[in-house]
Amino acid sequence: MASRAMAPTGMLAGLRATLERRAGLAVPVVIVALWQVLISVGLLHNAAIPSPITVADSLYTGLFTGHHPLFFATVTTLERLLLGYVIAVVAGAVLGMAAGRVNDLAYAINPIVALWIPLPAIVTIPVISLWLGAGDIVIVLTVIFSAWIPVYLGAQQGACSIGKRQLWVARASGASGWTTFRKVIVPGAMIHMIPSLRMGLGYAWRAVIAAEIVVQQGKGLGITIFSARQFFDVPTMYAGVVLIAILGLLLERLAFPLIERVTIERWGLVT
Amino acid sequence: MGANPVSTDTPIREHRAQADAASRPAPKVVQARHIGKTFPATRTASPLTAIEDVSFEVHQGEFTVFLGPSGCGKSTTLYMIGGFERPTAGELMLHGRAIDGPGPDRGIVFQDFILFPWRTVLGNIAFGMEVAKRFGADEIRERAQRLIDRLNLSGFEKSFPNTLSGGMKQRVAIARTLATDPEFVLMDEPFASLDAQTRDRLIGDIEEVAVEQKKTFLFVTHDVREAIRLADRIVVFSQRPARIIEDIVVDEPRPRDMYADSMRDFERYLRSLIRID
Repeated sequence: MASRAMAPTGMLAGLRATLERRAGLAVPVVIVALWQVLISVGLLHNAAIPSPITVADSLYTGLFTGHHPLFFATVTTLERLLLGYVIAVVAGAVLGMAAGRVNDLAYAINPIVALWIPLPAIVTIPVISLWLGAGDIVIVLTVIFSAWIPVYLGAQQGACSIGKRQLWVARASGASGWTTFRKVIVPGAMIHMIPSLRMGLGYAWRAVIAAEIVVQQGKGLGITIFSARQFFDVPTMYAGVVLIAILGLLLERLAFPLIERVTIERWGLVT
Repeated sequence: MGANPVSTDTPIREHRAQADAASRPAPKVVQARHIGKTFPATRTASPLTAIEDVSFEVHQGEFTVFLGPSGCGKSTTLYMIGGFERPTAGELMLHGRAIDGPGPDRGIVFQDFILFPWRTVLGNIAFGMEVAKRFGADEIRERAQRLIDRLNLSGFEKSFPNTLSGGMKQRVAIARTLATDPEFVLMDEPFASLDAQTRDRLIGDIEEVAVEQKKTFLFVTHDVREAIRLADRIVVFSQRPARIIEDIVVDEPRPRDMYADSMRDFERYLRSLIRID
């Protein structure tokens, strides 16, 4: 009796666990399906809203056929994004760690950062392009100017949180300031920096697309979306938006679990 | 020295005088003369006098224990010898010169290990040697491996600290300190956060290491039995603000029989000294 009652419970629990694991994917899938159904049965009829199948088709065409416009736009955008992001991470991390340990430096930099935080990437573009014209460098600089802020703040916090006595151990070994920075402060701050590196990448994505739309130079996903809108190529516009979301997700899901595996997970700092 | 050099009916100061006169040509390597330490007021705390008037001497190669109740300022005294803190009064000398900051001649071991979590066991032990630059890569590996074997860490070379037990972490920290061969080994309640069995084994290890290596150990503890087992000299601190209430040479052969009557009497006497009333 009891065992017969248990079986469906067990199955239900298993089903529920599977559903919970897939729930993150299920919701977008249901929305897209509903969207397709509404258009297919003719309930939704609007030139500004293409069907998911049309969008998927134009995504495929743009990536894999003809001149591969979406593919090359993606490559260009990723180049700008990663170049700007890497520079922002290095600059933000070094400055932040230094400010986390040297109070005078924090006093000098923090007011600038505080004024900088509310500035959207998009308002810095006209200023930068006034100095440097319009081109890749403006886009990359916009990415740097956006992404360095969370990295800086995380690095500063990380460097601040290094225990006094870890530094004592280094000093009692005769380590110079520079050696202590390299061997204790940098790895010690890194432990706390992963969330801010994630946030920095998000900022970089927004900045690169915004800058491409404003600067309007060369290729890029931002430009593709913007010009598709001007030519009323609605499916391509949607395809660009979908591509950015998927690429952003993939980049994050690939990079950060890897970073965590070789750092804090390996060190036994998270379970 | 007699078989029963320390007992409650021997006047301790007399005993110390005997010991000093008898057989201690070892040079004085640390001298504290009327040192004091007052921490300035902060936003949340009023000024605090941790140490009022403390004088003592440490002889070369001696295992000196600073014994006192918790929070009495003995750790602060150790940190001042390490060069991490400065006295606000008096003179603190190392080899006749005022201590001016930390140095590789003084290694330190803390109660809570303070290992580098991003370095393996081997990497932690190698840290000081890497920094010192006077060791070649082969020498670093060889010396680290010898300490790993010596402190029963074999097989854990590539483990990261957070995967180790407390006792093993403290062995790593001790190995890291010994690796660069410092003249002084400073230990700040190194066994206070370990369970009783682990502590017992580590005390035995430290005793052996101290006998093997002719280093000067400075060991802070509030545990009377630790002090009796390890010390050549016990400097007893009062409650805060710290003064020295006793300075005793312990001239018992090692390993010491903690159950001997003389030891029990000595233990009782020390407990009476540091009792907080």
